Amino acid sequence: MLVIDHLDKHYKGTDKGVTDITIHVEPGDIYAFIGHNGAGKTTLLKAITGIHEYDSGEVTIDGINLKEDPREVKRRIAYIPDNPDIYEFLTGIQYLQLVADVFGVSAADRETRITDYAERFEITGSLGDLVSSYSHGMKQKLVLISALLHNPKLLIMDEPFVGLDPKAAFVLKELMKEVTAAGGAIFFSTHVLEVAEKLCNKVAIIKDGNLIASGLMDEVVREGTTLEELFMETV
Amino acid sequence: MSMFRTMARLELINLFGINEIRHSKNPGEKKRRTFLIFTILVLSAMLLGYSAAGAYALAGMELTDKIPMLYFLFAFLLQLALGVMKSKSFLYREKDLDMLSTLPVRGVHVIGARILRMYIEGVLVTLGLFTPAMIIYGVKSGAGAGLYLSILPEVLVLSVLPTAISAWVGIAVAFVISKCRHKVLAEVLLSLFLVIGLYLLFSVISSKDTGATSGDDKSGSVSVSQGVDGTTTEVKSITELSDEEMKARMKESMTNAMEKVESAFPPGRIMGEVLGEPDLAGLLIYAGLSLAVLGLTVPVIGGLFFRLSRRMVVVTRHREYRPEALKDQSVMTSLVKKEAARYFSTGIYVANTIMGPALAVAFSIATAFFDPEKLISSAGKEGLLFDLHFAFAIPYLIGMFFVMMSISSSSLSMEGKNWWFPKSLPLSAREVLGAKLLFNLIVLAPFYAVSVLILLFTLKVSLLERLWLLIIPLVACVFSVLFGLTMNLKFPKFRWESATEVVKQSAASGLSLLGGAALILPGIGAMILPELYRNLLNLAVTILLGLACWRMYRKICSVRLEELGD
Repeated sequence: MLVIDHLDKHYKGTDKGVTDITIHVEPGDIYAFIGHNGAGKTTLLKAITGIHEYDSGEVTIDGINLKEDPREVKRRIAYIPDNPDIYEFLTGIQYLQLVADVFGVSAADRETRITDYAERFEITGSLGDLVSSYSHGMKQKLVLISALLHNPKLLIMDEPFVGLDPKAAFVLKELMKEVTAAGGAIFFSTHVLEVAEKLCNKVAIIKDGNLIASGLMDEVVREGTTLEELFMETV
Repeated sequence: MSMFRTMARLELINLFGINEIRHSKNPGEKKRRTFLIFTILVLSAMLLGYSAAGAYALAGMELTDKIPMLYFLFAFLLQLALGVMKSKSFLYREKDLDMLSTLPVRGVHVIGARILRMYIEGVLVTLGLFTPAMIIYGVKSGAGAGLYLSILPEVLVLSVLPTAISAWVGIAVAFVISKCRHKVLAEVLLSLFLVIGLYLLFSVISSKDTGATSGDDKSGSVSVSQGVDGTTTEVKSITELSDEEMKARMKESMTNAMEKVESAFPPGRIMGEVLGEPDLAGLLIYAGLSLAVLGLTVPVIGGLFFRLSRRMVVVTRHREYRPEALKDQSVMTSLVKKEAARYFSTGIYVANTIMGPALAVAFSIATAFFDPEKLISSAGKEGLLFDLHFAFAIPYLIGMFFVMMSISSSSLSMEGKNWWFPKSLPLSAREVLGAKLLFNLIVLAPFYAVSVLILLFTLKVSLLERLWLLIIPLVACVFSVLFGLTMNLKFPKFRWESATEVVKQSAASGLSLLGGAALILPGIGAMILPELYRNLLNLAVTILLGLACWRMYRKICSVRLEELGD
């Protein structure tokens, strides 16, 4: 599904960035990506979604190379940023309509999906309001709904649980399971290690831009220890 | 006082982006900012040069004694105009209101610091305009060292009053807006009323003053003009004037203009004498008056700061949304609608960019009531140098109104923190940036159509001139849109706290304005040149602008969105 192969990305004039990252995400995977603040998580996520250019290495999604055909890659994925900075001058429903138009979601499909997801996140009544009046959590819910509108094969999320209330966090976990059950995959960064350990089958740990561990959760986290303990030991 | 110092430091620490240049580790950003500083320095050098050249020319026309008065007025009006334009958005910023509200800081401290910054920027403008002229004045009038020593204190004093007046205009606008329900609309209408009102007033006054122009032919083929003394002067072609005649005409023209200025602005004449002497007592009186106004300004405006700021925050009412049938539409339609929603949600963006097109329509309407020759020539035709055909410059004038401040020059930067969104979507540069271009053209289209249609009826010019009237503003519209976005791509500014930073203070908007001003040159050419050469000039300008448009469009379509922004 997602192949990150020896990817290098550094910001010009600085030593900030990520070095030689190789990660493989398979269909059905819920892949956690963890690391300390400034380790390079967001940099990697932005590079593999085509928001930032990367210096070297390869990124392929569904066998399509990101550099060769970025539009086709972007059609198959959905990205949720760490900060839901979305157009505040639009209403919630206008924002969802915009995303649906860009991804060519039919009128019938968008109606069904928006109704379904908005009800699950309990945001239906606010969809007619301007995004500027939304709280952080409501914006996050809106971004999550927009990300699911075109049934992406791969969800790439940066700290998706931040700002969500417990109920919304539960709904998100359920949705993540549904996406992977349908053959999709999820690659997301998080600081909530308990959630990562319980929810994910794979994990990658990054430190100062370098990958220090990755693979199946059971193999990375040795028996008798926790992800938190491993994280404290290694990072 | 220490809180004022803290606020002032906060205001001044990043003046002209210096702090970001010092601390930015991104070489691209550093390069862009350094280029911006370089541009400011070049513009400053130009200001110094023009100021000196103008003063030198006045001295050459034996009008040395008028230099202090004229440059006092120039500096005062320029600072006032710049101050009035930005004062409301400069004094009241929604973004940092919450942060300031949590601090143990009083409105007087915040406003005092912001007025200080306005004052410092004003001092820099006045310094550039006033100093070279006064040095030329000193040299030509043989003044003593006292005059040169007094220039800096004079500059410091002169900048106080326009700063204070600008602040009052800012609070007046803010007060009216805070009382209105539709704040964006109120801001736009206020700005339009202010500018168009001043423009029409100016037009009416100038057309009355110059009512002596002979002939009823509006085509601009003026052959005879009448001086203020009632004598009739035959106007010659530029090629027919000898050097002596030209100098004499120029002096006569300038003397008439000076007399008008002196009679219209008596305080200007008084200040001219005070600055030219220099008269210490007079200067102290002016300084005292200015400081008194400022002393009243800061506490009053500062006292109202938090109350007014909160009233200006747009609060939307919640309406329960009920799911309804949704329709799909093309990507371009959707993107253009998004551009429209952003544009019409930002008052300062609309007010700043709609001014030019609105002035084009206002000018066109005015031509139905006033002779266009008089509308343009505010100074009248006394002592006219050449047989100028103002009507032939109208296509360029209209074009210039459209190019004045393009929407597209800020449209990329206005994405701000949202820029990740279009970059993450399966969209090409042609779609993302094309929607911005298209929206700008859609906004300009009705203004273009209305103004040109009116002019086609009101101007009595030949068929070919009518064709130029259609073509040149059209090409100018397209050029302005493409040039604006090109500048914005070259100088994007995604990190901003207030839309004012993008719309009014960014390199892209400033440079696109300068690009538009380039149309002045062919406009002057069209006024002076005989018919054949004029038509050739128009053709050349059309072709050149057309080619530039094509090249810019190709370049815009090939932009890699990933490379833009962090």
